[in-house]
Amino acid sequence: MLIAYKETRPSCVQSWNDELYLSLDVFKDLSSLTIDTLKRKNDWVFPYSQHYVRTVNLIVPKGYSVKEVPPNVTIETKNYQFSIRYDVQKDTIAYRKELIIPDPYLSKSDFGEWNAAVSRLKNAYLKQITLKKN
Amino acid sequence: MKFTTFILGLLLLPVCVFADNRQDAKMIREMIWAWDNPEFKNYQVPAGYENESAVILVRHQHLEATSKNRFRMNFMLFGDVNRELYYTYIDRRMVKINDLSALKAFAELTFRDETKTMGYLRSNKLKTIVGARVIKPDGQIQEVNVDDEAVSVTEGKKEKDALRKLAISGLQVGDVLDYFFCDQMELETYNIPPEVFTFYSSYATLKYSVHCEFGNKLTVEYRSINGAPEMKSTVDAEGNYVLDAEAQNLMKVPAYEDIRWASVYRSFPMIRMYVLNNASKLIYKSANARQSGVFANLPYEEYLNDSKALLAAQEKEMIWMADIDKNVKKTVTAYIAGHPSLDFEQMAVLLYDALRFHWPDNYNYYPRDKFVVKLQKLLREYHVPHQLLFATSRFGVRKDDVVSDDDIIPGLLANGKQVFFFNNGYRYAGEVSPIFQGETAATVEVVKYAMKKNYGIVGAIGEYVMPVSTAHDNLLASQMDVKLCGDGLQELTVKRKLKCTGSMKDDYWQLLLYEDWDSEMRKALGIEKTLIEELKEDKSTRKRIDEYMSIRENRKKSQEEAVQAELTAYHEQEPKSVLGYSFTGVGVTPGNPVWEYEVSYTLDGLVKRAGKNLILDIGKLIGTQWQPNELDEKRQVDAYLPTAMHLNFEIAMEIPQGYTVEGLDALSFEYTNDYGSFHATCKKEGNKLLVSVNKIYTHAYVPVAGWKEMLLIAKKTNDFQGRSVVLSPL
Repeated sequence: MLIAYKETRPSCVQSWNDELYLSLDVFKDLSSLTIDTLKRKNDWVFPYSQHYVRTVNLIVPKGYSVKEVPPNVTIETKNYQFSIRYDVQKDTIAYRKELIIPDPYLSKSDFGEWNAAVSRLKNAYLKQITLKKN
Repeated sequence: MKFTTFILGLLLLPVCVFADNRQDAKMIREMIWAWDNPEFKNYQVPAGYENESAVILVRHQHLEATSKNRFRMNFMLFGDVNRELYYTYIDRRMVKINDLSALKAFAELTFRDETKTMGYLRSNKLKTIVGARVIKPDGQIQEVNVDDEAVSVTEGKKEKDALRKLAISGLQVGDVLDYFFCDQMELETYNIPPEVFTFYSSYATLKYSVHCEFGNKLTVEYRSINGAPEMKSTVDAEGNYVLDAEAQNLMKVPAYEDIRWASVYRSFPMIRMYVLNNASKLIYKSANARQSGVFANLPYEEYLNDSKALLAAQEKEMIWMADIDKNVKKTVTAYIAGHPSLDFEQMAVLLYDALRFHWPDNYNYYPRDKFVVKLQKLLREYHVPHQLLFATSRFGVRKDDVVSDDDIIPGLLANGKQVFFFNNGYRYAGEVSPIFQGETAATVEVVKYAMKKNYGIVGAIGEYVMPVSTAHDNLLASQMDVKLCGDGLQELTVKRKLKCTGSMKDDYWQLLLYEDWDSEMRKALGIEKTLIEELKEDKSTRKRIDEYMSIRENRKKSQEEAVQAELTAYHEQEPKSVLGYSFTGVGVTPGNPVWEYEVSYTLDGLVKRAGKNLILDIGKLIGTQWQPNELDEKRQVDAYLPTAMHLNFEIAMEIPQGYTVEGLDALSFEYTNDYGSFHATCKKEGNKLLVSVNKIYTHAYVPVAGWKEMLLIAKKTNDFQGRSVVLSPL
């Protein structure tokens, strides 16, 4: 299934002085999936195996250049692999996020590791691209 | 041999009943499908409806009711003759399914196929028959085998609600679904459920009609409101009352739950109808109840007399009230001894509070009307000037549109300005509920109760306009101290103090425990003993103290969860942790009318990092606010807010050491129109960033012509919510 649409999201850009701050990922997948280890008594089972790939290409507006992009993130465990990459080329920034959960079963003993991974993801989502006026 | 036949008969009985039911249902389906109504034979949708999700080509409601004398043996094995009601209600619709959303909505029908409820030594029976058939685009008709395909399910609390669900097999986009529900009732102790014929729909509806046939021993009362057509009333050859109404192209409105601040009974065209079996001696009714006949648009005074007569009837039934009376007077006497110079207004508050404090929470045995009569008697006994009050709700029909005493809520007016109602939530004595504000109520002096007279109460009748509160009477004031903390300063510690008055308290009642109300009321009434001490005193309750303590602990736990839920709703995300909370005022007594609450918590997700700079989404700290959607933009009906209201947010953010804050100009807003305003200011004071936000709705009623101004206030607020400040290293 292919869905095409256009939207404007002013809240993804902040400007201050001669800089623009941008967040390219509005979906923030898995960011709310911290497991409450005090309340949760059983293992966790996702409804199915999951493989998210989100790519966003930002065309740097004329008159601006890339000052800073957030660092890449890679998390690999036996149960899942998460990665976030920023690829800066001439006048574009390519954002690629890949979240792979091949086994939907997450054992209670792995909750701590999972929460740490989600925390790193959340932290990555809060990091902004900085564009500077030429 | 005879015994064997008897047993065999018993065994076969359910099978026979089952077969009979199926036969009845088959006959009814055949009869309904054969209706001589050309609209149910036309499956074509006229041009112009292609973009509608579904189109109701035709809807017809058919009602028949008659009453008959019938001898019955009740389960106590006493027999007598009573006038029973036989009622049939058919609601048939033919719907063109245009898209997947409509397919999902109509793909399943839910109904209760049989139920029996017990009245006083009596029973009432309901049977529902459902029919459904799918008409394919080529005209082929496929009837659904309801009897075999409907499955039994249970729903609701403890899975006690037994229902049947029918999946419409073979239904596809482009098909027409023709279906009906047919309810058959035999009623001994109930009237027919009140009917509301709605001349509006959430789907485009081309034709709608209603046909009623009622036996001439019944009493039929109805009223068309908000522009619904009038019913045509005739009498058939057998003397039955026949009523008809019809309309084309109904007003299309969204589902109720999607309409913000709606007052359905004041905005949408409908006919409300009551079919009453007033000839039955088993049905409780007012001395003013009309005899058989058809009564359209009866004046308000008729229903006021009904209410008065029903209240008067309660006066004769004030048995089992001795304990309540004793407890109330004990509390009142002790209070007066300590406060000998109470004026009449203070006395009215004392009597109301003492009565509601001692009133049992079993509202079946101790209903509203008894409370009102009891309070009236207390006010008279203590010489407080008062009148009975009969009010309508802003969220019910208008005073001149009432069709039943159910539309009128009795209460009391003391000293010409204090209003008291039975179920007033956690509002303090005299606090006027939003549902009554601005309503013109009838007042009645009580010279004498006269339950057998049609006017019910002897005494002068007058009017009282309920006071309307201003935005500042309904204040939510939120003071937030915010600190950036945690790893990389990307977490917030928030200390939030909340003060609410008027209707703004209503949203926070869920956080209040019964014990908080109880202890506040004891303080106000001068009752020294605590609830536990009182429970210990009584032999019957002493044994249950452990049980009570355990319930209280559970409630405390639920309160913690409610605090967490309130924060989650406020921020649209869960707090990272709740550090603590307390209530400094619960707002349930006139001496302490403000709800005050403090909560401390940590929150992440609002501080982003861009290189060395931090970006704080400070606008989001004013919490979830109304974001107008497409339905709001297209609104066609007036808005009824609970009250005018004022939301105030004072945010003090500590600027972290080594940082400076920039981007403050973006936080200044100044917008006012005829229906309210949105103002925000921002300044730096020492190491604090101070943001002050005020959103005010000045009117509780906004005509549709003014709705755009409400949208503008909301949009300014949303604009502010998207604003951030930048914290950059010095």
